[in-house]
Amino acid sequence: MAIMDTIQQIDYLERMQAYNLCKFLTNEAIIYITNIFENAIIKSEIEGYGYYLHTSEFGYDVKIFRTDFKKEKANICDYIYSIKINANGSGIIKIKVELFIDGISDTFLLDVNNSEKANLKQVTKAIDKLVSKVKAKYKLT
Amino acid sequence: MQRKLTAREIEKLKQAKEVSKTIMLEASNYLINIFENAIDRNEIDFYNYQFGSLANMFDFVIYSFSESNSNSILSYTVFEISTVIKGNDYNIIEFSSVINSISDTIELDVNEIESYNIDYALQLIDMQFKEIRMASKKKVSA
Repeated sequence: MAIMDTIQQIDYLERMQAYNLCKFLTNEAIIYITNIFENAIIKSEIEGYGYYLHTSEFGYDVKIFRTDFKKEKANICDYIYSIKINANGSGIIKIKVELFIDGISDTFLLDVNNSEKANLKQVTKAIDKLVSKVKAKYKLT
Repeated sequence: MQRKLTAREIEKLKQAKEVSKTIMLEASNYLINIFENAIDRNEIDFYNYQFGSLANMFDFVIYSFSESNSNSILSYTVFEISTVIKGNDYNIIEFSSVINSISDTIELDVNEIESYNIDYALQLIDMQFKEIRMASKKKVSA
């Protein structure tokens, strides 16, 4: 009975650790992407932006978008950014990160036991790569 | 048609926006933690929030509408906070908080110490939330 309790406790602690990492990475990813939008507001390229966050049992789902929507997409802020960060699997828990900007997406797994800094670096690098891909695809400056 | 801002005005607005952003992030994190703690206590299953930003304002709304435990005050409470930059020199930040039917607005000085402004804003939220909790207790006992 005591062994079962210990296993359950370890499982709970691992899930909490994974969930906390999801929360941290989601917050940082939001700040990273909204900085692009904030800079665009300052340069008067857009009037405003907004984002929705939805939580679930396993993690977070975020959509970031420009509020003064434009039909012709000439700016990187004219696209909807989607981020899903969830704790994935049973046993050894991984963090699943799904990024999506206008049909271009990237999905990868992060190790809960890696440092927060290392995991965050992977997320921001993936965002940068995706933004560059969208810019190249639509010849945006 | 809107007047074009001068370089100095843009700089002042940028500075005030940065201060507003810090206040909003601190206040929204404070509210998010209330909901995160409620999830840990199994009072609610999930929560949602939305955040908006314009040149001179921020707006944040958070709610749960969770069905798992309708006794939790968070399952029927909507928190909305916003900041608007005002003043001739963009030196005033109007911070508003609305929790269900209770609303209040305070004015913060852009040049004031950051922690003072944040504390003032969090105190307002705390006070309103206490009022809501008291009202809900009265309703239950009535």
